Amino acid sequence: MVDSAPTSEPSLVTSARAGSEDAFDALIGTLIEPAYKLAVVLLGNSEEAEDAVQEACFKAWRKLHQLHVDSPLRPWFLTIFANQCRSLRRARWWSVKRVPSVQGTNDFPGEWVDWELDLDRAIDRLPATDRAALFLFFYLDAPLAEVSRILKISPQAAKSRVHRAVVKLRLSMEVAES
Amino acid sequence: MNEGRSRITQAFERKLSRHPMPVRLRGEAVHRAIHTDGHAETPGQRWALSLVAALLAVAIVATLVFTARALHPRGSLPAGPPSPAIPWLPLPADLMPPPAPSPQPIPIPPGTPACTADKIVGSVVGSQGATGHVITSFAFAGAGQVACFLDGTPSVTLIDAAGRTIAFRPHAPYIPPSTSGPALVDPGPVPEAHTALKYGQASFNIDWVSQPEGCPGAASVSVATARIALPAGGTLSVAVPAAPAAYVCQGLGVGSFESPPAPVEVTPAPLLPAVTVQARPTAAVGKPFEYMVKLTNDTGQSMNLAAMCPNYEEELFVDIINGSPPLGGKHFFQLNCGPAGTITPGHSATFHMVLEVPASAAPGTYTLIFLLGYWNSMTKVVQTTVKVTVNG
Repeated sequence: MVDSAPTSEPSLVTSARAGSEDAFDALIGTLIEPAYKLAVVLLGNSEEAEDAVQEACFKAWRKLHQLHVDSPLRPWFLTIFANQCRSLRRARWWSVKRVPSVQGTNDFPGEWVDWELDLDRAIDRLPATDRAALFLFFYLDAPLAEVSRILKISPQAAKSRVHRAVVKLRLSMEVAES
Repeated sequence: MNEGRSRITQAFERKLSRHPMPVRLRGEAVHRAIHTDGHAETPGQRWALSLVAALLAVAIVATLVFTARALHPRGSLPAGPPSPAIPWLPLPADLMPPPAPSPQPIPIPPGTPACTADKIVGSVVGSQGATGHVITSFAFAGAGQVACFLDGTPSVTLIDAAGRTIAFRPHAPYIPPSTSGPALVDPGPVPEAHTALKYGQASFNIDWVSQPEGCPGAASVSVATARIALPAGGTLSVAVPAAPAAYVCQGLGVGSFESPPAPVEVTPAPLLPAVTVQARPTAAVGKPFEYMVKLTNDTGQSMNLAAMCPNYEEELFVDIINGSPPLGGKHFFQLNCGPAGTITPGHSATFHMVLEVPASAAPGTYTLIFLLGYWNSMTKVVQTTVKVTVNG
């Protein structure tokens, strides 16, 4: 007789707590890609994103006993993960590349613009926390309650942050020279 | 909004496509997490060890207190008689955090006059397109020595390169302003294009449609100048840089004046006291289980619980290690904070708690988990083991 492998989240949590690597992989493995993407958005660097994923997985393993079996896994893991990214950002404050402020110009280009490039630049200019809020809300389609939990702010503040980030994008979108 | 969502999502996809995730990362991360842990115990065993460590710590502290009391005559220790426990009340928890303040315009100093055309200068600071709309932003700064304010919606007439008035009909602005109310205009240079609005500059947007579908057979017109009539008097003429031409049958949207919103700070949650739980080791199926929660102000500042009362969540887990579900779901209440009043630094308040053990509960060993926090953010967690029997 062969025991069937647990598939429900509570069963997987139970098995992972008992030391099952397969169960831990089934739980956390699917979250690694969104976590890695969040790290790229927050840190802007593939190597640091990989380090953040490694370290967050390690912490998730160590903290697995703190997870309520009926609590949703994604916000729990991404909260650990966002903390890790914040720590990394704090640790490298001295090496943060300074982005020059946008230079004003009075001559308006005569041709229409490449909005994609403008939007990409505008997103890059946002503070990391605003980028994270936009990424979680728009890209991961996370509800505001989850955004707030991951970013450790109130749901109202999460809503406000997403709104403000969109307004900032709109304000900072500049007409690019073709 | 959907268009904006899609554009933002696509922008993230472009960014992420430059940093693809290595395929090996998932396997490596999971494997290393487990095998570089360096501890023999599993997470479940770790929890049990943590509990044992906590009990050992309690035992050590108790021994130290006992020793101290043996060494010092009664009365020389600062601890006073235990205060009576605050009774439990089934107070519903309000889990909604307070709303963050909405963006507000920069306040206008009293006595500031309304801006007339001779007191300000204006320019086009940006133009963007969205779903066939061209949105052009005007910004203003003071031309004189004193500040003034712009309020309401200007009357805008657009002129083509030949000096002819373009006959638009009005329509609602495509993007509503982010702030409302009077916008302060401080003296300063003409606002520069492509730069974010500064405090002390006011702005408004106009929008027209650049797609021909809505105006079959109509020719487009190019906008060269905007004549902006201010609510307080006077008209400014501002050159409009080249932008996609307009189809007049679709109308012209004119927004109201706005200013950069004043910075909004979200008030952080107040500090929480330290929490300890005292519970009898046994409880009875279908009967109230009573326990004590002691809150100690271990910070340097007073905690007015009556003014800002935390919520708590209590749960009985059948077996936290083996993952059984909690009994009867989650139970949120507000503490009975009124009688507690203010806890000064170093002092405590003890709350009498009552948890109804469901009649459907199976006898066994449970873990009582008590979580304390403000609104829906439970950040302090205490747990202890309780044996539930049929007779208590």
